[in-house]
Amino acid sequence: MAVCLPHDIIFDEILTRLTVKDLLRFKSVCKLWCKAIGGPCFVKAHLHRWRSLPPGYIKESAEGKILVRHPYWGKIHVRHHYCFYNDVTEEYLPINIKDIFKRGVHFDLLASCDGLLVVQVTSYRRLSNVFIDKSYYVCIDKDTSYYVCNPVIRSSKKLPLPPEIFSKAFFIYNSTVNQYMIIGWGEDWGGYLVFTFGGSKTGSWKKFSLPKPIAPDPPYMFKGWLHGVVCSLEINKTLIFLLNTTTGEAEEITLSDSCGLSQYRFLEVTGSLYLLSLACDEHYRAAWILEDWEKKKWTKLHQKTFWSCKRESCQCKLEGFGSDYSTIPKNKCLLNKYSYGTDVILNSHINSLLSIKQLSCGYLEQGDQRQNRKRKRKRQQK
Amino acid sequence: MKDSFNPSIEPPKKTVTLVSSDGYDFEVEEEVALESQVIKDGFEDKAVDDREYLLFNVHSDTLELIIKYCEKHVSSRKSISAAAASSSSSNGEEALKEWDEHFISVDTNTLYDILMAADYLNIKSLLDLAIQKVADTIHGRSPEQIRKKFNIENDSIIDPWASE
Repeated sequence: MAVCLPHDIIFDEILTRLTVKDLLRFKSVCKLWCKAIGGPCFVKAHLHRWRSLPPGYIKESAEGKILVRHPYWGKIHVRHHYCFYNDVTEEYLPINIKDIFKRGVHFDLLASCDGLLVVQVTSYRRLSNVFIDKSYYVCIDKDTSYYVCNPVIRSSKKLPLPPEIFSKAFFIYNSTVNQYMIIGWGEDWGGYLVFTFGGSKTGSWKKFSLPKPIAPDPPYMFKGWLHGVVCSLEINKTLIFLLNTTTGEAEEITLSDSCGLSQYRFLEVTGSLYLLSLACDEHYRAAWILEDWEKKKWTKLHQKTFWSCKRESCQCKLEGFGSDYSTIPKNKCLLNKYSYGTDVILNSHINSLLSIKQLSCGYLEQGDQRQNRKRKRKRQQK
Repeated sequence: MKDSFNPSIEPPKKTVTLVSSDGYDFEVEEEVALESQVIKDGFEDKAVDDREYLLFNVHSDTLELIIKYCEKHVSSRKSISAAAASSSSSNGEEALKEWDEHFISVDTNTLYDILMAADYLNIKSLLDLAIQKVADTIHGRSPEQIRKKFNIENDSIIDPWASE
């Protein structure tokens, strides 16, 4: 029996559907497979397929504890197990990052994109104990660094030290410039720190300032513009800003009928940008859609009030909006389940062959050979 | 134009002839044949009495299966849209999925034949179905099983997984 499938079908179609675990094993099938699976075109094609899957999320899981050295309390147990969940594909995947770092450090998962994670690693060192005025002080050296890692292929890299220590981060692939970006910020910051992978600007942090302080909610990159929410105390107005991370241009849009005291989450589903908001005391939630990109027009899709708020101008008194997500096609269950709350990290998959080395040397920008392969075979058939 | 005056009379069903690589003729309805993007692309330019396609790469056994698939999909799409129009709930899509699952559960050689034919005729849904089936069957297998399945000779001197 001699069945031979053409290479373009095997590599571009069949193997891109497999998990990294399978692919690493299949590298030993033959030399050609080994070379193809490690090649930039395949890595890219594999990513492209997995990126289109319905998004899942990463959460700290309840099981397992690890030992961490803490300057005040000595050795303590901390829960540091993260898991990837996908309610649509019913995938459940423990993420093992503790093996990548040396023992005894404290790490926090800040952001994730395309199977890559941004991790903040903190190590404490007790320098000396001193007595001043009959009080006992402990001098501690706290060392914070940032890593990018791919836990599936165990590749990791330390990032250059940012000019400021940030506690929140967002990691995104900006398809308009073909670059990965890490966006870091902290409480009450007036801007963002941006680190870019690939392209000529690799290797340095760049600071973008905004005229107003930003809200702690994660921003989102849409069509090359960073969208974020301005920290506002006005009760029925939300300001969205747009920041172009290439040129530094900034714009501001007012979102009417919204409450300033909310948590926000941007979500891109099938090419449309949504903004979901949950009032801080959870008495209502609402969703907007960016209807017209050119005119920057946002339209309210839905609002659900859980209980009436006593504040005079609160928008929960607005009526005339649907009471469920039926207005948002197809993604009803998706939005309902885990779009609210900014503590979970949304991610489409945690299954990528991309190594950090490939990322930083602009590996993804190399030419796309797979279309050529297909065209060549089609020509031969004719 | 005549049809619009008298919509109750259905126009006679137009057919297309598909010829397999071993010389068998298959007469199928136009819309069934149009499931194939390749046939659809040059369809309007062809004269009505010249609608015959020679499929050099598709054997009659495979072509029969492909036609069966296309007929099923055309008919169920009609019934689904009819159900949607009358706003009655239907589980048409789920039933079709089940049918697909059953349809693609064939032996390896037939599966590869269907895959190649779907690729040649450019029938996207069938190609997707066949490829997913192949991907499912190789998921979790060992490299040795893969070599056997794809007829590949082992030319790697060092097994990168031997040490682990």
